[in-house]
Amino acid sequence: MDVHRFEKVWIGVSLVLVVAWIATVTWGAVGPPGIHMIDDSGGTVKPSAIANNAFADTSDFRAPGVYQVGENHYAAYVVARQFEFAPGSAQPIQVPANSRVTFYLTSPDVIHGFEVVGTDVNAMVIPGQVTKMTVQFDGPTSYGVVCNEYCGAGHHTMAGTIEVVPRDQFQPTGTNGTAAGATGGSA
Amino acid sequence: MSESDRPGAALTRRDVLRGGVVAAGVAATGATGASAQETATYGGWFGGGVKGGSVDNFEGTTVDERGSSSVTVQVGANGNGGTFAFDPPAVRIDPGTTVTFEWVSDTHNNVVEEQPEGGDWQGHEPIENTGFSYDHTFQAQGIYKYYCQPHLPLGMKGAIVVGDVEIAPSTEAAGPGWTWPGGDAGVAFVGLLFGTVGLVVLMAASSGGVGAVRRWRRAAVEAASAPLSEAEPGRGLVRELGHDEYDPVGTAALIVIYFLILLVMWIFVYFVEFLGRGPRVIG
Repeated sequence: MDVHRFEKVWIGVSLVLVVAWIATVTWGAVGPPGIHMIDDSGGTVKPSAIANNAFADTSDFRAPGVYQVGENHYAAYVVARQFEFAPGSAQPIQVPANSRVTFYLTSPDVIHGFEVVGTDVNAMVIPGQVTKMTVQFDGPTSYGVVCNEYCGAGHHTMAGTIEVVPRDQFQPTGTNGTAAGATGGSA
Repeated sequence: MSESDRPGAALTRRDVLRGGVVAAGVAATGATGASAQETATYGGWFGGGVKGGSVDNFEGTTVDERGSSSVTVQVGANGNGGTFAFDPPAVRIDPGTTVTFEWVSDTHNNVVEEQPEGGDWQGHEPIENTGFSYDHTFQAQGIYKYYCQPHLPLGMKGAIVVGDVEIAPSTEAAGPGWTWPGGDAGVAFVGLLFGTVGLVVLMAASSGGVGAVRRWRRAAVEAASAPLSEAEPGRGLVRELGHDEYDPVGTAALIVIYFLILLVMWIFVYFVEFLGRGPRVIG
């Protein structure tokens, strides 16, 4: 088979591009950007315990709210249910600026989505499973949160807010642990 | 069809309805001596304009339970597109009456939006499921407004009127509904515009248009079926080229352009669109 020398050139360039793309994604995952896949490390929880607000009975989930778990590390526990994020919908999820926040998400009823609009923070919220993901927030701003898995008649109304507030205005809202002694999140 | 989800609907219509319902209520009272009903919109609370969605299971009537010693409100009754209603949505009771809130479906709570001075109703903010119930004895006279937090946008709202207080007549806070720009003249103009354009299109299609398309098709068919002329001068073999002697420069240029597009897309999708949209999941 004769391959024209022009063709040899562009076949070669194509192969280089394919390798470069794979290298880019690999660099994003293991290099400085540190893109992380959400796995099952969040553990499991009984949906009935979440439905009955029996957070004390669960080891992998705490009462909804934001807890301080490290010097600059916070844990946000959010319940997604038909059709609200708690916290998030009635009150915004407040987190301090320039901090690392680990979200723990679960649902007592059906599968929901947790998408921070306009960002790459986007996960499924599954009954029985704790979705755990860590996010680095920058300066004060506000993000919208939407449910992106159809969850029932009021799905289109299911939305919330994350407020990144200056550090001196931040108050941990978690109720079953103190800021200093909390041990819930260590991602 | 609820009046309350028609903000700005003619007052006269509501007044007529109110008159009708009151008359019906009076008739019912006269016939059976049972509870009468009245209409009110609670200052737009049951509409969609103040907070949350409009309450479709509220049809302008406040159930009168004055004289009853205990009253039950179902939480999560059918309505508002699912089990997202308080039943009855509005009820009038005597001061000192105990109201039992009974959960008949899952994932609801009671958040008090507004209560009269001296009202001590806390609602019930934790989310509860079927079978849960609690009660509260309403002492202070006035209007209590409450809702279910997860289903507020769907219109799961209610009101309890304690005593003989007057319910504010309609002051629906929502803006006027959609109207044609320019009013009746606008409607006439749009009608005229569409009518004229439609007429022109019809006339064009029926006269010239169809004929022109037919002529074009006939010409195309004839051209395609014409026999190829053979042995035209100048079409014979002129020069034979080896495989690598010909340089497809145009094709190469096209492929270079494709590669450039791919490069730009690559940079845009990964580095701008993906990495540029922080924050990201990093753990």
